[in-house]
Amino acid sequence: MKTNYLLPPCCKIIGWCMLLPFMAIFLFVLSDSSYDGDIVMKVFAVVSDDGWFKFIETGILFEIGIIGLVSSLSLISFSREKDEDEYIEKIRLQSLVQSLMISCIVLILGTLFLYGISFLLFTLLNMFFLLITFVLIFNIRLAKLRNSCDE
Amino acid sequence: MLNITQQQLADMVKVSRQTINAIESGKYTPSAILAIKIARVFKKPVESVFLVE
Repeated sequence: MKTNYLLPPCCKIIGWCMLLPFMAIFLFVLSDSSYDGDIVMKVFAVVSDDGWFKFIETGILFEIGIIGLVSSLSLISFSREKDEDEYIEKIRLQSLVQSLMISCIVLILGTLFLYGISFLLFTLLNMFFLLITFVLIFNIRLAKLRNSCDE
Repeated sequence: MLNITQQQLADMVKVSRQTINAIESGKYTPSAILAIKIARVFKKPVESVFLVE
Protein backbone atom coordinates (compact mmCIF):
# COMPACT_ATOMS: atom_id res chain seq x y z
CA MET A 1 0.00 0.00 0.00
CA LYS A 2 2.50 2.60 -1.16
CA THR A 3 1.47 6.19 -1.66
CA ASN A 4 2.89 7.57 -4.87
CA TYR A 5 2.00 11.22 -4.48
CA LEU A 6 4.43 11.89 -1.62
CA LEU A 7 8.15 12.69 -1.73
CA PRO A 8 10.76 10.15 -0.52
CA PRO A 9 11.45 10.11 3.27
CA CYS A 10 14.92 11.71 2.90
CA CYS A 11 13.25 14.96 1.75
CA LYS A 12 11.90 15.42 5.28
CA ILE A 13 15.44 15.62 6.72
CA ILE A 14 16.46 18.08 3.98
CA GLY A 15 13.37 20.16 4.83
CA TRP A 16 14.20 20.28 8.56
CA CYS A 17 17.82 21.28 7.77
CA MET A 18 16.64 24.07 5.45
CA LEU A 19 13.96 25.37 7.81
CA LEU A 20 16.12 27.05 10.44
CA PRO A 21 18.39 29.20 8.17
CA PHE A 22 15.51 30.31 5.95
CA MET A 23 13.29 31.10 8.93
CA ALA A 24 16.17 33.16 10.38
CA ILE A 25 16.52 35.09 7.08
CA PHE A 26 12.77 35.67 6.88
CA LEU A 27 12.41 36.85 10.48
CA PHE A 28 15.54 39.01 10.23
CA VAL A 29 14.31 40.87 7.13
CA LEU A 30 10.81 41.12 8.61
CA SER A 31 12.06 42.61 11.88
CA ASP A 32 14.61 44.99 10.33
CA SER A 33 13.03 46.62 7.28
CA SER A 34 15.73 49.31 7.23
CA TYR A 35 18.49 46.71 6.73
CA ASP A 36 20.75 48.04 3.95
CA GLY A 37 22.87 44.91 3.40
CA ASP A 38 20.25 43.43 1.08
CA ILE A 39 21.30 41.65 -2.13
CA VAL A 40 20.17 44.03 -4.89
CA MET A 41 19.49 42.42 -8.27
CA LYS A 42 17.71 43.12 -11.52
CA VAL A 43 14.63 40.90 -11.59
CA PHE A 44 11.76 40.31 -13.99
CA ALA A 45 8.46 41.52 -12.55
CA VAL A 46 5.12 40.60 -14.11
CA VAL A 47 3.49 43.42 -12.14
CA SER A 48 5.37 46.17 -10.29
CA ASP A 49 5.04 49.88 -9.46
CA ASP A 50 6.60 50.62 -12.87
CA GLY A 51 3.90 48.69 -14.75
CA TRP A 52 3.53 45.29 -16.39
CA PHE A 53 6.34 43.01 -17.59
CA LYS A 54 9.31 45.17 -16.61
CA PHE A 55 12.82 44.45 -15.32
CA ILE A 56 13.23 46.16 -11.95
CA GLU A 57 16.07 46.50 -9.46
CA THR A 58 15.20 45.31 -5.97
CA GLY A 59 16.51 43.60 -2.84
CA ILE A 60 15.91 39.86 -3.02
CA LEU A 61 16.74 38.70 0.53
CA PHE A 62 13.09 38.72 1.54
CA GLU A 63 12.12 36.69 -1.55
CA ILE A 64 14.88 34.17 -0.75
CA GLY A 65 13.51 33.89 2.81
CA ILE A 66 9.91 33.34 1.67
CA ILE A 67 10.77 30.82 -1.08
CA GLY A 68 13.16 28.94 1.22
CA LEU A 69 10.64 28.83 4.05
CA VAL A 70 7.80 27.59 1.82
CA SER A 71 10.10 25.02 0.18
CA SER A 72 11.39 23.65 3.49
CA LEU A 73 7.90 23.47 5.03
CA SER A 74 6.60 21.77 1.86
CA LEU A 75 9.42 19.23 1.95
CA ILE A 76 8.62 18.42 5.59
CA SER A 77 4.86 18.24 4.95
CA PHE A 78 4.85 16.21 1.77
CA SER A 79 7.50 13.60 2.53
CA ARG A 80 6.53 10.02 3.12
CA GLU A 81 7.16 8.53 6.56
CA LYS A 82 9.50 5.53 6.56
CA ASP A 83 6.64 3.35 7.80
CA GLU A 84 3.88 5.13 5.89
CA ASP A 85 0.79 2.96 5.53
CA GLU A 86 -2.95 3.49 5.30
CA TYR A 87 -3.34 4.45 8.99
CA ILE A 88 -0.64 7.13 8.81
CA GLU A 89 -2.23 8.25 5.55
CA LYS A 90 -5.52 8.67 7.42
CA ILE A 91 -3.77 10.68 10.17
CA ARG A 92 -2.16 12.80 7.44
CA LEU A 93 -5.56 13.55 5.90
CA GLN A 94 -7.17 14.34 9.26
CA SER A 95 -4.29 16.64 10.22
CA LEU A 96 -4.60 18.46 6.90
CA VAL A 97 -8.34 19.01 7.39
CA GLN A 98 -7.81 20.18 10.99
CA SER A 99 -5.03 22.59 10.01
CA LEU A 100 -7.17 23.94 7.16
CA MET A 101 -10.04 24.57 9.59
CA ILE A 102 -7.75 26.31 12.11
CA SER A 103 -6.20 28.35 9.30
CA CYS A 104 -9.64 29.50 8.08
CA ILE A 105 -10.71 30.46 11.62
CA VAL A 106 -7.48 32.41 12.19
CA LEU A 107 -7.95 34.18 8.83
CA ILE A 108 -11.50 35.21 9.72
CA LEU A 109 -10.47 36.38 13.22
CA GLY A 110 -7.49 38.29 11.79
CA THR A 111 -9.70 40.02 9.23
CA LEU A 112 -12.19 40.96 11.94
CA PHE A 113 -9.79 42.21 14.60
CA LEU A 114 -6.59 43.39 12.88
CA TYR A 115 -6.29 46.64 10.97
CA GLY A 116 -3.57 48.74 9.34
CA ILE A 117 0.05 47.57 9.39
CA SER A 118 -0.72 44.70 11.76
CA PHE A 119 -3.18 43.28 9.20
CA LEU A 120 -0.49 43.46 6.50
CA LEU A 121 1.95 41.68 8.80
CA PHE A 122 -0.74 39.12 9.61
CA THR A 123 -1.42 38.35 5.92
CA LEU A 124 2.31 37.92 5.39
CA LEU A 125 2.64 35.44 8.26
CA ASN A 126 -0.64 33.76 7.32
CA MET A 127 0.98 32.46 4.13
CA PHE A 128 2.93 29.95 6.21
CA PHE A 129 0.29 29.32 8.86
CA LEU A 130 -1.42 26.39 7.11
CA LEU A 131 1.86 24.54 6.51
CA ILE A 132 3.20 25.21 10.02
CA THR A 133 -0.08 24.09 11.64
CA PHE A 134 -0.14 20.95 9.49
CA VAL A 135 3.47 20.05 10.39
CA LEU A 136 2.73 20.58 14.09
CA ILE A 137 -0.58 18.65 14.21
CA PHE A 138 0.67 15.76 12.07
CA ASN A 139 3.93 15.30 13.97
CA ILE A 140 2.27 15.56 17.41
CA ARG A 141 -0.33 12.94 16.41
CA LEU A 142 2.37 10.71 14.95
CA ALA A 143 4.50 10.99 18.11
CA LYS A 144 1.45 10.22 20.28
CA LEU A 145 0.68 7.16 18.14
CA ARG A 146 4.24 5.84 18.36
CA ASN A 147 4.40 6.46 22.11
CA SER A 148 1.07 4.72 22.73
CA CYS A 149 2.32 1.66 20.83
CA ASP A 150 5.60 1.54 22.75
CA GLU A 151 3.86 1.53 26.13
CA MET B 1 -5.30 -18.64 16.63
CA LEU B 2 -1.77 -18.31 15.30
CA ASN B 3 -0.13 -16.99 18.49
CA ILE B 4 1.92 -14.30 16.71
CA THR B 5 3.01 -10.83 17.82
CA GLN B 6 1.63 -7.56 16.46
CA GLN B 7 4.98 -6.95 14.75
CA GLN B 8 4.90 -10.35 13.05
CA LEU B 9 1.37 -9.76 11.77
CA ALA B 10 2.34 -6.24 10.64
CA ASP B 11 5.27 -7.67 8.66
CA MET B 12 3.05 -10.33 7.09
CA VAL B 13 0.47 -7.83 5.83
CA LYS B 14 3.08 -5.09 5.13
CA VAL B 15 1.83 -2.32 7.45
CA SER B 16 3.33 -0.77 10.58
CA ARG B 17 2.83 -2.19 14.08
CA GLN B 18 0.96 0.99 15.00
CA THR B 19 -1.71 0.15 12.43
CA ILE B 20 -2.24 -3.36 13.81
CA ASN B 21 -2.35 -1.87 17.32
CA ALA B 22 -4.94 0.72 16.20
CA ILE B 23 -7.08 -1.96 14.53
CA GLU B 24 -6.92 -4.17 17.63
CA SER B 25 -7.89 -1.35 19.95
CA GLY B 26 -10.76 -0.31 17.67
CA LYS B 27 -9.31 3.11 16.79
CA TYR B 28 -9.04 2.34 13.10
CA THR B 29 -11.15 0.39 10.61
CA PRO B 30 -8.87 -1.23 8.01
CA SER B 31 -9.39 -0.90 4.27
CA ALA B 32 -10.91 -3.81 2.38
CA ILE B 33 -7.51 -4.84 0.99
CA LEU B 34 -5.89 -4.89 4.42
CA ALA B 35 -8.86 -6.77 5.88
CA ILE B 36 -8.53 -9.44 3.15
CA LYS B 37 -4.79 -9.77 3.91
CA ILE B 38 -5.41 -10.13 7.66
CA ALA B 39 -8.22 -12.62 7.03
CA ARG B 40 -5.91 -14.69 4.81
CA VAL B 41 -3.23 -14.79 7.53
CA PHE B 42 -5.73 -16.14 10.08
CA LYS B 43 -7.58 -18.27 7.48
CA LYS B 44 -10.88 -16.68 8.51
CA PRO B 45 -13.67 -14.97 6.50
CA VAL B 46 -13.12 -11.24 5.84
CA GLU B 47 -16.23 -10.31 7.84
CA SER B 48 -14.57 -11.57 11.02
CA VAL B 49 -11.99 -8.75 10.81
CA PHE B 50 -14.70 -6.11 11.06
CA LEU B 51 -16.84 -5.40 14.09
CA VAL B 52 -20.22 -3.95 13.10
CA GLU B 53 -21.52 -1.60 15.78
